[in-house]
Amino acid sequence: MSSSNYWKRMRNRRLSRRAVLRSAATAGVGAAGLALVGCGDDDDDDAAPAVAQQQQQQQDQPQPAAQQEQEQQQQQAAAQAAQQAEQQEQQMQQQQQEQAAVAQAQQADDTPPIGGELRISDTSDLASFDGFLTFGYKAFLHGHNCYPMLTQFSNNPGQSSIDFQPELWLAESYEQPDDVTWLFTIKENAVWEDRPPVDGRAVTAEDVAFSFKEERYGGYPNRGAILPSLVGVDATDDRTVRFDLNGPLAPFLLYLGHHAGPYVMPPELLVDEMSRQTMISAGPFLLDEYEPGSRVVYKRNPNYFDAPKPYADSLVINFIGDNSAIAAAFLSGELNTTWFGVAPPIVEELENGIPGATWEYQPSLVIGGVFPDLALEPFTDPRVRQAMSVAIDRDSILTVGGALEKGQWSTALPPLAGWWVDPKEDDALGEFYRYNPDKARQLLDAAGIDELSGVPFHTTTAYGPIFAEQSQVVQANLLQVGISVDLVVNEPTVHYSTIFNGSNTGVIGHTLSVASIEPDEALRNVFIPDSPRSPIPNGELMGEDQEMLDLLNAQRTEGDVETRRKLLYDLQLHIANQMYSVPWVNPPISQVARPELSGVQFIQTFAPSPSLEDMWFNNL
Amino acid sequence: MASSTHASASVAEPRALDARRVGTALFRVVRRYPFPCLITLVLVLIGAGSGLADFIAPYDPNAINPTDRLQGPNSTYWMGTDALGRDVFTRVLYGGRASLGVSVTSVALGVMVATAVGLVSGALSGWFDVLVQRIVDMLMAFPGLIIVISLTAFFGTSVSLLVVVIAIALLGGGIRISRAAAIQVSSQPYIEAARTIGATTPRIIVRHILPNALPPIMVIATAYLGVAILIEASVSFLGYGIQPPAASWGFMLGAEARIHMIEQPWLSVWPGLAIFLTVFSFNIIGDALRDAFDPRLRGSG
Repeated sequence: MSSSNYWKRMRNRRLSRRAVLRSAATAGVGAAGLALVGCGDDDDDDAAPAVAQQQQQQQDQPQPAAQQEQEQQQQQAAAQAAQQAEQQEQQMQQQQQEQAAVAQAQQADDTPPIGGELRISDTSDLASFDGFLTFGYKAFLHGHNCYPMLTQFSNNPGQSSIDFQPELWLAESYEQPDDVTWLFTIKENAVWEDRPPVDGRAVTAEDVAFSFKEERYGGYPNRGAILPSLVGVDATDDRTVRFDLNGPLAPFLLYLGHHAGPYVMPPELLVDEMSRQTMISAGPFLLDEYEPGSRVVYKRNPNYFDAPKPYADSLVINFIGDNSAIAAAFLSGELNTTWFGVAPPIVEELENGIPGATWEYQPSLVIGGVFPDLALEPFTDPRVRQAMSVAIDRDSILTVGGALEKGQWSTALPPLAGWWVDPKEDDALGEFYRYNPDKARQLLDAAGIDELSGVPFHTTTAYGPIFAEQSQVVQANLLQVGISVDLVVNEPTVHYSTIFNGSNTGVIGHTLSVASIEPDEALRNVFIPDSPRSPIPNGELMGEDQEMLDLLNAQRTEGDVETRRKLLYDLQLHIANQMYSVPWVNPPISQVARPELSGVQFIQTFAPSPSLEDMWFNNL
Repeated sequence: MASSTHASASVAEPRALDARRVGTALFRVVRRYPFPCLITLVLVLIGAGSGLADFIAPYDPNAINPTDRLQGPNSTYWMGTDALGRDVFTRVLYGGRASLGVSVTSVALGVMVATAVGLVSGALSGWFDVLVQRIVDMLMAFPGLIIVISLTAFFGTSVSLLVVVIAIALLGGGIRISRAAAIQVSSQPYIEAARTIGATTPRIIVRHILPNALPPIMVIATAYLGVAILIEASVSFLGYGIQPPAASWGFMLGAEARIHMIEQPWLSVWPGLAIFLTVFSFNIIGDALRDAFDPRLRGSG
């Protein structure tokens, strides 16, 4: 991406942010707060407009002293929120200018050479190339190489990988005429690759509108973050697409660049289910070769709209399940960088084996856990689920994964900075998660359970063999308190179509859910009863929990950061008490890159294309 | 009284003679087949170790102890510990119980069915023989391992199912060999004589063909024990066999060992060695039996 494009993008972003701020200031506490904290998407209700409407009603009516005082407090909060937003805006601009200057200087001094074969690995094959059908990280890993999105997460040097700063990708600019309308202009030079059925035609606003409509109304068990807020998406001309929302959605840009899509795909690809067999690219790489069970080969897209990226001539994603094999491949140079399925002990080995290799640990933002069928007796009883939780020795699980020091315990939230509460440090929360087999026995006794046996406990090799080993720790822990489960180790494809989406009833599942970038998203993925991405089978029980649903809605529309933090704490505590899922641990994700690779940025979102297109070989 | 004493002495004397004869015979066997005898001893030790694992094993095979994970062989853990801190020696002993149990049971089942079908097929000939042989052709067109993996993937994994599918995988060869033996024996004059005096076909099969066809069947059964262990190990290695936390040599050699193959090679060495010794032993014993049953091959290696 040239520097002029970069500055153009920056200018557009600044202008739009001002518009956002103006709207936020006039909208009052709710909208300003939303803009500040980037809280939740608006799914199926109109809570945010209701808040604004309520405030307007309060202004219009004669107010008693208490109400006036309350309003004054709200106005002060609004002013503070707007001030904070402005400060944050200034800091962000300053930071981005510095980053741009660094990037410009680097580019002026040393333009990355183009060439080389970038080789990475994943633990297993993907189920389908269809970006609509699949929503595991394997779909993101491949789809993101070919299908662009309007925005993406910034990968600028110096930025933390979990900042999740949105930046324009396929979009050249955007406008926000009002709180619920967004207009995007897509880049003029974006074209599909030159092969049937698209034959190199331009990427159009109609493609974007089609992709969102298909995702929204196509009946796919898929994305959760942005689609429920959409009431309309239409192409107003060849390059302009208009989004109409059912309410303000502060993290709109963030959700638009979400690793889970929607990707922009050409409508022609859906004919004869072609999208399942192949991908037609407008992104950085072109699908070149697919060897089922072995590897996927991509080549550089010479017509990529952000040329001269990508810098690598080709990209090979090998399927290697064994940690040892990954380590050996990395040590021998068969892999240039690797991040998933590499356990901490292997990372240390790699670090020692290759001087100059760069490596990084980041907390995993996936929600892992043990997910019992909520309609299966006796797991309908919260005491039994609580017993399972305190029967599990989470530190042992981390030890087996070689991550005792770096790993953390999950609550209902993954360790999202600022929102997650560490159960090790919070007594009220900790009592639901600390290893205590005696308490587990007491809870089971209270529930009238003497012994349980023969419950299928499904795990998988999809996340590497260590995950299945950790399942054995859970199995042994449960056996210790009288719950005998039969371990069933599923192949990745079976796992993703059953346990991963909670469709396998009558069992306890052990899985990771999708990575989330926002607490609202993380909670809604798992605990909304009809969520297509919840690994909890028969979640109707959660639909009867009005307190939880109220808290979920309240945190999504709450503008004040501290109030929202409190709500999220209450939610974590409430869900711990109900224990709809038994949260597990969050081993850190590690990424290692060989020294010949430069421009390496940490791949947190499992949609690594922005990172991959930035990487280049310094030994060419 | 006297007569009764005499009677006791006359009974005791032949017993002593029998024991001496057995000892002499054993000595001759050991002298003639020293290596197979040594190997048999190894196999007996492995079998006894696995069978008596409850008494010999120092630890619970499934008891996890993460603080002691991935220790090398030492005085506390003779063969080291695995990733969950379980004692590898204990799991090798219990793993042998699973591996040997599954293979012996499946071979017994497979060889019994194969013998019955093969003998009837060979003795009856005609359309029944043709039908059976085409089915055998189909069975033998698939590699045994593929049959086992396909069936376990379809029906699920359990020890009893594993026994049955391994037995099915062994059926083809077993039927062929027992049929060949039956055809050979059927052409002997004493079978013709039995028919002439009015013996029924089932009686001929059971009383005349089976005893005379037994030597090659015993040889193939012994060889199949090694094959069955390898199939069980392969299937468990691939994750379709014995399920965790139960130990089996193949499973121990699989996911458990592969993850830590570079840093903790002993995790694969011990179960690998157990599989090697057991399969090697069965093959040598099978060879020796073949030599013993076929005088033409004695001493030919």
